[in-house]
Amino acid sequence: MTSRGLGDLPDVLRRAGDASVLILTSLADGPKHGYALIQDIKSFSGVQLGPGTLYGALDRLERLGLIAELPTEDRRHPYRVTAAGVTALRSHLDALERVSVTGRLRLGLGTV
Amino acid sequence: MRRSQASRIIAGALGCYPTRWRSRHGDEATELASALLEDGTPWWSIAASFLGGAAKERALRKPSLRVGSALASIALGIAAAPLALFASLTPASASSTNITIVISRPGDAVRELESAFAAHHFKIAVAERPVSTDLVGSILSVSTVRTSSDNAGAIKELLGRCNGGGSGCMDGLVLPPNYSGSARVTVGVASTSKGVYHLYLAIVPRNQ
Repeated sequence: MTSRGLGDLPDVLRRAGDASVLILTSLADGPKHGYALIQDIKSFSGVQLGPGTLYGALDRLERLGLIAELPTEDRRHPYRVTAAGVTALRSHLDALERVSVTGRLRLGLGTV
Repeated sequence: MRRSQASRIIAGALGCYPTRWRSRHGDEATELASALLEDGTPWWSIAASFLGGAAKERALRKPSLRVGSALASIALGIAAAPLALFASLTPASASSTNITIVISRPGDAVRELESAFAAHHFKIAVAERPVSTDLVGSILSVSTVRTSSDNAGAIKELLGRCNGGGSGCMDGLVLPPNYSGSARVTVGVASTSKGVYHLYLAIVPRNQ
């Protein structure tokens, strides 16, 4: 099964894991370093990413070209989302929305 | 779990990552772990996350050794944890921590610490022990010689960089300004005989 978003974009985040989606969502409003990412993700999702999970996901996203590292500040490495990352996140959120709408309709909850 | 002991265990978990990963993320990861500890994140949660990350990282870099490498990482981490715990001779601090002394010149750490202690009128002796290059200028142990109840466990070690840029070594101390106990700090120094140094490991019985 292939998941597709609006404009028929491939959902490259489908297999990237929840941590990757949370990180991209956090970076969507501006660059952040590791600790700021953990704090922000906890605030909007209630999920506390472990540091090992965080670095694994950051490396994976960077390999996929979805985020990029900015110049080091002190010992910290801030990251920003790339144009490809924005596209991937939009596509993934669209796919999630379709699942959400379908699920709510089938449960008789209507749409938000 | 005392802060310095937790830091040692976490440093052991970080040591399970491949060298390339540590050279890129090691310093930041150490700082991040300290911040998470400050926030109240359990030390075991941080260490477990790093161990899992290290196993995945090794499996990713060497797919042909996926199972063996991952298991080796985990085994190494589990083995390192109690050693790191027992290697710490420093009691936890119950006092405020106002004076921070960080070793800035690993090759001259003994003199640097002696000068700092004298400047603050601390009765702390500095002992030296020949070690491998990466531990030169690192604090190996802090032992309290004599202390009042107010000073019990007042000296904290700071987790920082190793000589040569790695992470996970103790490179500083934090003391209360009114520290009046006596203590001895052991610092790693370069071996005078090429290739000869002590493998530093302290094993303390559980009941101490």
